[in-house]
Amino acid sequence: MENILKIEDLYIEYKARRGLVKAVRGVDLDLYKGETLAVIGESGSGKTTLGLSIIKLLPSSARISQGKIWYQGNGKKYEIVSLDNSRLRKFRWKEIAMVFQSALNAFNPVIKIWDHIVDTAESHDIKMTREELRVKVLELLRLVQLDPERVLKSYPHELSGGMRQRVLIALALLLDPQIIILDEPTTALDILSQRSILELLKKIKEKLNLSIILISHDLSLAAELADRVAVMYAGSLVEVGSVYDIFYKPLHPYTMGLIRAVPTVTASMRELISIPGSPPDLINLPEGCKFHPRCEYKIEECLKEEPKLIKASYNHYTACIRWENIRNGKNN
Amino acid sequence: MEKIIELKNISKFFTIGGGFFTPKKTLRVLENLNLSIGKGEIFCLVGESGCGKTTTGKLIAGLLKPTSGEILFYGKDIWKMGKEEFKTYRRSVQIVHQDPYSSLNPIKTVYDILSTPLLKHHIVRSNGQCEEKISELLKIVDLTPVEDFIYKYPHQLSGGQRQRVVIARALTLNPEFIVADEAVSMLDVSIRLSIIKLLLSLKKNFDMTFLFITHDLAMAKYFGWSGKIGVMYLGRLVEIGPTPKVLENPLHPYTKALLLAVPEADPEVTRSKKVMELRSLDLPSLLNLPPGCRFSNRCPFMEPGRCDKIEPNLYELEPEHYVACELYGEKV
Amino acid sequence: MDKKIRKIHLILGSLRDTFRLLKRNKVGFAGFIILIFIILMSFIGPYIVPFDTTSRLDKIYVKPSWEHPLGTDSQGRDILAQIVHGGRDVLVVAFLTGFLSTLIAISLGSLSAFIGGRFDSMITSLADIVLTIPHFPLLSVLAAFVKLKNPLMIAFILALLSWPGLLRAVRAQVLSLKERDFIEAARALDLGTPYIVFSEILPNMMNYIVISFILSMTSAVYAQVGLILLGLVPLATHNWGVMINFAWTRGAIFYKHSIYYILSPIFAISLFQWSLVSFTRSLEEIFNPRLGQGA
Repeated sequence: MENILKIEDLYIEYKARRGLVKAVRGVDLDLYKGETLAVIGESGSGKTTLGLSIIKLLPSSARISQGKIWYQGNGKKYEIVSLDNSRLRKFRWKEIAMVFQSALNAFNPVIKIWDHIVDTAESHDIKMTREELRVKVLELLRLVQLDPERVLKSYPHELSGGMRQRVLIALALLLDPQIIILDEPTTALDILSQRSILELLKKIKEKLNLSIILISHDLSLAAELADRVAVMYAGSLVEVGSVYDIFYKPLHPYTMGLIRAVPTVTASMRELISIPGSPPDLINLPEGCKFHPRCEYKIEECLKEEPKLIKASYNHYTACIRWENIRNGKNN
Repeated sequence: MEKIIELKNISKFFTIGGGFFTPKKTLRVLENLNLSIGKGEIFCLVGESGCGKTTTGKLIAGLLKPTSGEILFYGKDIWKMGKEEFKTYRRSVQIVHQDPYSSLNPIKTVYDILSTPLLKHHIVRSNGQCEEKISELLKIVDLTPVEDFIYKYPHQLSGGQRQRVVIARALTLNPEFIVADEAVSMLDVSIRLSIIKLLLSLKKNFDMTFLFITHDLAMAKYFGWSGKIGVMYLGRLVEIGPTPKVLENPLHPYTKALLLAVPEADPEVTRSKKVMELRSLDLPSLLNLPPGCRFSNRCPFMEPGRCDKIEPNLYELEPEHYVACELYGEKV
Repeated sequence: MDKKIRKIHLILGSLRDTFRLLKRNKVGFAGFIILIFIILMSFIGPYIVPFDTTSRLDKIYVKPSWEHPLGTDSQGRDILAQIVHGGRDVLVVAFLTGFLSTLIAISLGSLSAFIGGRFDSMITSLADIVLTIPHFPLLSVLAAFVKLKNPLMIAFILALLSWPGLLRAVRAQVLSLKERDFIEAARALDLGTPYIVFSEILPNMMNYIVISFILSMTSAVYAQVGLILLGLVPLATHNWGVMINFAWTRGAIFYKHSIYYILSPIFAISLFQWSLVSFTRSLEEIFNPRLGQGA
């Protein structure tokens, strides 16, 4: 399969009062053309930082200390980490677009949606006339199942959360990007609106042959949309695999713990098991494997060295030295 | 089972506006709510944001006064109680909020937070006794070793630990009833289950009664499997019944839509769901409610002339399983 | 026993932290040091530096020298000694005014926000009325009727006029804090309104209250010096305001040597004001990180 994005050995740090926060540590990750990759992790796992680094939109306190991000699409090839600002501006949105978490904050409350779209387009110096822009926007709004005439004339507060989210998705698609990054696209929405967004994303992906990176804490979103899942813990990837491998044959104790701790509604009732302890302090990370203080499979070796991703089977990687025991269901 | 809390025809309206230029408007947040909770029972109230579930929780905890209707505590209307009686009620019903960051006073230590109610209400007679009682409470909520937590400030604790302090605080006055308002939704996935298990242990060990308010159907199912569930939509209860019955055999179109819409943390289950096509994607505003059944403008089974004309009655289709939908009118 | 020691350690630790935060802002720390210096000078200084009030006609308007570091006044008296002796009243009035007006603002403001209803609208409209009265003319009129003999009286009148601004701010803050979940929890625990207001809400506003207290001290200094300067207050005691008045009326206009006489109290007042204002910067450092999340 063809790589559209390749992240190589990426490290990102934040400066905080107490010290350096190691938000992303040594991430290697590929995104294939046309796939949906879900990056799953809890708060502080570094998933949002990783997403922001792909379009180099990190806050000023963050620094990419090491690593490369290669993008190859539309017949172009870039290394994103080394792009300067003027080239970044041509790159963002045209090649990779991001839809952010808080759909309300993305809009200026006192200007109408159409003016917001025009402003955004102008600030990215897009070579489109007003008329061309309008035609394109109308088409996209219809694609996301909104009534274009009504929406464009509205102020942000006149739209529901789900509608605003759909506007943002349409806006992200304006310049036909190859990749869309969605950061918690449905978190603030109610269940029925959430469903409509999920259906919409499936439809768009099919129609436009997009590659999608879905960043979420919610396992069920990954189960619903993803082809592949990458699980993050304390800034590193601990497991990467197909959605079925991750959910039915997890090979990392953390992934396994998450899946055993999350209830389902329509599946049959089963006993859930919680993960003991709490996520580590990113400034004072434990030695060795970062999950070992909470791990039931821990042995002495786990404390010595942090394991790298190991290939367990085709397209299935885990950062656990005891993955074979986990696969065989043995813990001794 | 003895009824500990009973709501009779409860309505709660808020008025907004009413200045010089804005006309007064009435928000009908709750209308004609009837429910009863037995001693030692778990009652889950599910619904989307804005459906009135939090308001119901506050009414039951006596933190808000209803516009009309009665709230009975062991058969007595709480707003007609004498001072002493009301105090007993107030101390018997405690609330656990959603946000562990705003539910603890940032400038007080765990010791201060727990000792104040103990000393104020003479649960303990001396400082020595107070410390004993506090360590007992911290042990119940699994904050051990106690010395590591007792003098900490909230900002020195993780989200899960804070929520445990909040629960310990709710237990200081030996309550019989706890209103848990989205008590785990702000916590990390790996932490949620441990808090849920803590609450379940309170039910088991102290025969605690719970009103569990949540938008997360899966959590409601896991926590409230032995109890009842009430589904709310725009200020009305649309379905009530024993949890297994409601989730396995939903009757109200809204409940059905919710169960089909909710994504599940299981790829096969979630991908095999059929989506219910609603007639409108957007939740109506409380200021502009549809006539008749409040779900009628979105419901795919809507019968014109009936659903959009008459307020639905509550029908008992199975023992203890009620639904507020006129489509079942003939069956009963 | 062990637990008591722990608690003492905790308190010592937090004192050490406070001092560390105090030092973090250089300007604020300088303000703090100068403020301490002015306070010591005004309250302990008079016992060390003697003030000879007898007139020395041979020493009128002497230039600064070792004997008289700031020179002498129109009656040949030492100016430095007057500065040392003249601070106490100014400081006392400033402190009392700040204290009283803050006290009024906090108690009325928080009760008003908490009780609401008619009480609230009564208090806020009262505050609005006081806020719209022009203060200085009123003070001038009042001074004609009331004998402003002692500092306490001046402080009291100044305080009566300066509480409304802070009251409105306190009320707004209490209204927002009131909605926080921990307040609701305290209500469910039946801890009582006084406890909720004074132990749960007000401590969370300490930063704001202390800073407003200090700022109201600065305006109290200007108000009282202004009153004295205009001669609306009997010039019985020696203080910086009286010095300016004397320097102005008895010399400054006529003799250029009197420059030290008029500048010294002005400089003392400015320094005091500057130290107060800068000190608030350090106070912000102290209060904010502790209330913030990641200390």
